[in-house]
Amino acid sequence: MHPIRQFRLSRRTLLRGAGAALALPWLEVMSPRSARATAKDRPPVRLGCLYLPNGSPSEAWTPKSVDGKITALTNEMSSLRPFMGDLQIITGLQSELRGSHPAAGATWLIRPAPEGDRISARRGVGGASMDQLVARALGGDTPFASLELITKPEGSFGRSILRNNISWSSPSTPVPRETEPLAIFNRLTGRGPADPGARRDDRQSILDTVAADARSLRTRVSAADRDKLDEYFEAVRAVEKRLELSRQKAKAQLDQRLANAVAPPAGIPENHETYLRLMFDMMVLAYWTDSTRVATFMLDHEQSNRYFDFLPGVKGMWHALSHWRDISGRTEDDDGKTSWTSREVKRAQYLKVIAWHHLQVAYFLNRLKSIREGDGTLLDHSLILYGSPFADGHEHASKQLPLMLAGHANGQLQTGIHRSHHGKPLEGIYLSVMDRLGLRVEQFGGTDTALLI
Amino acid sequence: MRLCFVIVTLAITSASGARATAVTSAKSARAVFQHFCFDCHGNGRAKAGIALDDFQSELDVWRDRAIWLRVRDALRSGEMPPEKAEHEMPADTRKAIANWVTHTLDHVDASQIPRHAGHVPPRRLNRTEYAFTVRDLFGIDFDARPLLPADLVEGGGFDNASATLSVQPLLIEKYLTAARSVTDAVWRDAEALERLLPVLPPGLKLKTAGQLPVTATAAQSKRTDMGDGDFAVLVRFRTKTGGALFAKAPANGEWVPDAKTLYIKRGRLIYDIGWVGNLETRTRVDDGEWHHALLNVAGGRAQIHADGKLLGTRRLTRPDQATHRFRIGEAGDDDEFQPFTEGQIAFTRFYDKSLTAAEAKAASSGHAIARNPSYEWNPAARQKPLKPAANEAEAVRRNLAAFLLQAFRRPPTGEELARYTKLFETARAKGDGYHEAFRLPVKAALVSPAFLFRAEAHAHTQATRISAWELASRLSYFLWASQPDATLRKHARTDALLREDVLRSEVNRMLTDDRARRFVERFTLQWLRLEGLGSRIQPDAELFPHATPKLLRAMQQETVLFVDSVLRGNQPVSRLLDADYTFINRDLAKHYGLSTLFTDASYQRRLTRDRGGLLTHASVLTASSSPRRTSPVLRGKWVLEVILGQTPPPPPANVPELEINDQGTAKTIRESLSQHRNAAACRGCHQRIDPLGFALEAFDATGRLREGKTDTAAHLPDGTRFDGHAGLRRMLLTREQPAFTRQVATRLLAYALGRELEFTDEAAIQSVLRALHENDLKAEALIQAIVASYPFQYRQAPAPAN
Repeated sequence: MHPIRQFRLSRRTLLRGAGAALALPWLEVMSPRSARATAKDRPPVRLGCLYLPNGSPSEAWTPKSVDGKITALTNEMSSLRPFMGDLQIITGLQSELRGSHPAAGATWLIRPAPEGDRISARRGVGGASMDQLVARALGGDTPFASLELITKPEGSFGRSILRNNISWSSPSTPVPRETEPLAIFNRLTGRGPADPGARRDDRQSILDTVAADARSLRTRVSAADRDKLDEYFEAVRAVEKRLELSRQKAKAQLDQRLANAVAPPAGIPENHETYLRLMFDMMVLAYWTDSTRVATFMLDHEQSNRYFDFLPGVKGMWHALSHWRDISGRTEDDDGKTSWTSREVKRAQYLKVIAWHHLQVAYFLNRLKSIREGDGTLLDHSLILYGSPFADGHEHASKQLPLMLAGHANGQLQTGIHRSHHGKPLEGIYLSVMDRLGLRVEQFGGTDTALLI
Repeated sequence: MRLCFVIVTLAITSASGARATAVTSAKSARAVFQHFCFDCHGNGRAKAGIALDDFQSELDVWRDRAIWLRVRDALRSGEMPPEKAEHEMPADTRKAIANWVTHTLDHVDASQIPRHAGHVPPRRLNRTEYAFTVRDLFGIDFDARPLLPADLVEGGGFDNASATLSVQPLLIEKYLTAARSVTDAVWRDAEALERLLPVLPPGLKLKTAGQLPVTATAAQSKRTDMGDGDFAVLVRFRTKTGGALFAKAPANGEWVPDAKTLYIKRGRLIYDIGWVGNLETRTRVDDGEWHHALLNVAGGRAQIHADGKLLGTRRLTRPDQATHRFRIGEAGDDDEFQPFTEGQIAFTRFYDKSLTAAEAKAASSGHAIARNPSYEWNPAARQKPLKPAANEAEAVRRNLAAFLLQAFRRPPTGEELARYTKLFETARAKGDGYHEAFRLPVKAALVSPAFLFRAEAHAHTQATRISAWELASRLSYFLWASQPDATLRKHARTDALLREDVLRSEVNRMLTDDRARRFVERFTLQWLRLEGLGSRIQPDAELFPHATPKLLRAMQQETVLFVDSVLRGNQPVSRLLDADYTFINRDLAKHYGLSTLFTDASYQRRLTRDRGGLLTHASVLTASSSPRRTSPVLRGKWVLEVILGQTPPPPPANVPELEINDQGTAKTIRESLSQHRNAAACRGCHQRIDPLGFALEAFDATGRLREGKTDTAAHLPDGTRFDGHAGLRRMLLTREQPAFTRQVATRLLAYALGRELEFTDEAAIQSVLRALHENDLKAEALIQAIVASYPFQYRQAPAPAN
C-alpha cells in the first residue's frame, strides 16, 4: 500500500493554496444564520456517507484492539493507518431484510423495507434516507441542501434505480446523482458554459413564472397527483434559494474560495483513481466553501461489474470477484472469459479491490485533514460514514456489517476506538449520527435506541 | 357468513390430515396452506415478506400474482415447505396445490375483478420525449438528449413509467440550461423563428418575396450540412454596401481559420478559402441591383460566376471539411463578414454536387436548370406569409397564445397567458428587440411544469373519461414519443377526437407517419432488452473480432425494422416469431453468410431460409449470450421472460457451483447443465429454462450459424419435445401461443399507458386480446384496441389503500 505522504498533488489539484494561508476564522466570513446551530462560534458539522458496494468480509474490517482502543488495523485497511486517531470502527451490526443487491443498495441509509426484497421505486423503498432527513432539516443555510455523487456506472446494472441510489427524498423518489467532476464544479461555482446575453435576474423571473404555473396546475389535479407537482415546486424553490444564497455569499469573503478554485478537466477521467480523487476533491470543495453540509458518494453502484484489472494481480469484474467461492468463471455472474485458480487467489483479489477503495478514502480524509478551518481542520468538523450493506460478498451476509465513522464531528465522536454492537440494527447508528448533526429523531427504521458512537 | 367459512375450513383441514385431497377451490387450498404454511407465513408472521393468511379467494391470488408465482415455484421445486417444517407435505399434495395455483393464475375471471381505470400521476417527459418534443415544437434539427441526465428504469420496465420519473433541484438546473441551448438554436434559425412568431406588429416589415431585409443577424441565418468535396452555391442578392453571402463553418458556428465564406468587399465578390487564401474577383456587384452569384467547387477548383460570366478560378489544396455547416447572410466576427447593412438576399441554393459549365452559366444568369438544389433557403417560397397585427400587444398575445397552446398541449389559461406576456414585457423593458424579447417567455415555458409534465385534470374516485386534449397527448406520446401535431390539435379543439371513427383514422394516420418509428424503436429495444447492444453488451473482441460496435448497431436496426414491418405493416403479431424475411445491410449479409450483392450500406428486405423471426435475429442471440460463449440458461431465461412473460425466481442463495472443466463447447455445456436439472434445488426452474436455450444452440454467441451439426433437441418436463429454432418457434406458436400473445399485448399496453399493469387491468387486457384474436392477430387491431381500451380512455383516482 502506498503511504499517504506519497500522494502527489497534481497541477489539477483544486484547492490550490488551501493550507494554512487561506484558513479563515469561521466568524470572519460567515455569521451564523441558523438558530439551530448548536454552537454559534463553531463551524458546522459536515456529513458524508461513502458507499462501498459488493460487501467487505468482516475479517478484513475488524481491527485489533485492546479495551476498545484500536491497536492495529487490518492489512486491507493499512492505508487508513495515519487516521487511526480520527476514526471509529464499528462491527457486529446487522440488517436482516437487505439480502439482495438492489434492496441492499437502495435501503443502506434507510430502514430495511418491510417487504424485504420486494421493494421497488414504484412501491417505495421504505422511507426517506438518513442523509436526506438531515439535508431537509439543516440544509436551509447552504446553497445546496445536499450533494449526491456516484461514479459513472459500468456494466449491466447502470440503469437500475435501486442499485444506483442510496439517497431518497421520499420512499419513491431517488435523488439524481452527479457523475462528472466538472459538472459538480460548475454547479458549486456557478461557472459553466457562457450564457451570452442572459441577464442575471432572468433566471429569477423564469423561476417565479414556473413556480406560479406549478401552483395553478396544482389546483387543477387531484389530491393524489399533487405529490409530483409539490416535488417540482420544492425543486424550484431549492434552486431559487440557492441563487439567493449565492448572491448573498458573493458579497462575503468566503466566495473567494470558489472564485479561486481551479476547474477539473471535463468528462470522466480514464484513470479510475484520478476519477475518484477528483470526485472526493469536489466533496472537499463543497464542504470547505460551505456550499453544502451533506454529501453522499457511491464509490460505485451496487453489484458493480467494473474491472479492476489495473490493479496488479487482479482480474475479472468486481461483483464476480465478490462471489469468490465460484472460481470456474462459468457462473452467470461471470464475464465468460475470466477464471481463477483457487478460492484463496480469488478472495485475495476481491480484498485487493476493497483495499484500493480504502486507499481512496484515505486520500479524502487526508484532504479534509489538511485544510484548516477555524481552530481546527475540516476533518475535525466532519462526520464521515463509510461502509457497505453486506459483509462477505459471496454470502450476501447481512450480519457483521462493515461500518466506519471518521472525523470528529466537533468533538462529538470518540475516535481511535473499535466498538462492537453485536446483533444491533444499523439504524441505531443512524440515530446517533443524526443526533451529532443536530437533528433529533425519536425513531428511525423501526428502532428508537440510538447506539453509542 | 364468516363463521360458516371458518367451520368449513376446519372441517376440511381435519378431514385431510396428512393425506392429500384434491384441491379444487380457494377454500380447500387455504386449508392446505393453513395446515402446512401458516407457522411461518401466517398468523402474524411473514417470513421472506410473504403472508398467506390474507388470502381468502381467487381474487386475492389474482391480485398478488407475483407472490403467488413465487409460492408456486417454491412448492414445485421442493424449496417449500422446508424439511424442518412441522408437517411434511406429501408429494401429491404438493403437486395438487401447485397445480391449483397455476390453474387459478391461468384462468382469471375478469368479471370478478373490480375495474379500475388506473392512476397515472402527472408524468414528466423523459429524456427522449423531451428531445423529440423540442424538435417537433420548434421544427429544428436539434438533439437535446445530451443536455439531460439519463432516466433510470425499474427492472424490466419502460423508460416512460410515470412512477420512476421524478424532479429534483438538479434536474431543474439542467432544464434551465437546456432551455437556454434550445432557444439559442431557435433564435439562430430564421425559419424556425418565423414559425414560432408568425405575427408581426406594425412597423416591422413583412418579409415577403424579394423584400427580405438582410439586416439579417445570426438569428436569420440557416445552417445545413455540407459534405466533402464538390458542391455549388447559388445566391441571388442586391446590396449597396457589402457583407457576407454565406459561410461554411464548424457546427458550433465559430469562425475558425479553415472556415470559408463568400462575401463582398469594396463591391467585389471574394471567396475566403481559409488556409488556401482568397479567390478574388474584379467585377463590382454593389450597385443595388439584383445579381446572381455562383460558387462552383469541382475537381479541386473553386470558381466564382456572376450574371452568366466566370469571374475567377483558384485551385484548392485539400477537400472541404465534411463537418462544416452552412450559414446564410453572415460568417464570422470580422467587419466584412457581417450581414449586409443595406440590401437583401432573395434566395440561396445549395447543390451537393458541382454544376457543369453549362449549368453554371445558366444558373448564374438567373435561368432555371434541370437539377434541383439539395437545399434551398427561399423566404419567398414560404407557404404561409407572416401575419400582421394591429399593434404590438396584439402580436405578442397571438404569438404567445399559439406557442403556449403547443407547448402546454392544451389552450393556455388567461392567467398563464398573462404571466408569459409579463415576461415578454419585462425583457422588452430592459431593451430587448421585439423578436429577442420572446426568448424569456419561451425559455420559461420550457421549464414550466405545464410543459415538462403531462398532467391531466382532476381524477375522481369514479372513473371519468379523459378530455380530447388529454387523449391527443396520450396518443402522441404513445405513437410518436412527442407532442400532438396540428391535426391532432384541431381534433382536440373540436372534440372530434372523442368520436370513435375520428380516433381510429387518427391512429392509422399516426402509424403511417414517420414519427411512429420512434415508438417502434423505443418499444422494441426496451421490450427485447437490446438497448445495450454495442455499449453494455459487447462480445469478446478476441474471439469475435467481427462483432464491431457498427455490426451490433446494425443488429439492433435489423430488429427495429423487422418489428416495424409487423407493427406498422399490419402483420399478425405471430409473425414476430415466424417470418421468412428480415432486413439486412451489407454488414449483416456478411455476418449471416448471405450473398453480399449490396451496393451500399442501406437496409433491404430479404427472404431468409434458415432463419425466421425474432429468435433467430443476431441481436437477440447476441444479447442473450455471454461475451465469450452462448449460454442456454441466459437464452432460455430470455425466451421465458421476454417472449412468454414468465419470470423465474432468482436462484436460491449460495447455489453450488456447476462443475465445468471443459472448453465451453455447446455439447459439454449441455452436459454440464444437466447437473442443473438433476440437482433438486435447481431442477424446478432449469428444466423449464434450459431446453428453450438448447434449441437455439445452432447459433453462436454473435448469432452466426455454427459449422457442422449441433445438438438442438430439447424436451420440457411435461414431455413436449422440439428441435432447433424451427421446433421452438412451432412450440411457442402452438402450445405457448396464449402466453405469447398476452405478453405482446401487455407489454404494448404498459408502454402505451406509461405504467406497469395492475390486476385491475385484467378486463382491459382480455378485451384487447379478444380484439386481437377476432382480427387474426393483426397488429393494427392490437394498437387500435389498446387505444380504445378502458385504461387508455379513462382516468381514475387511486383506490384507497385497503
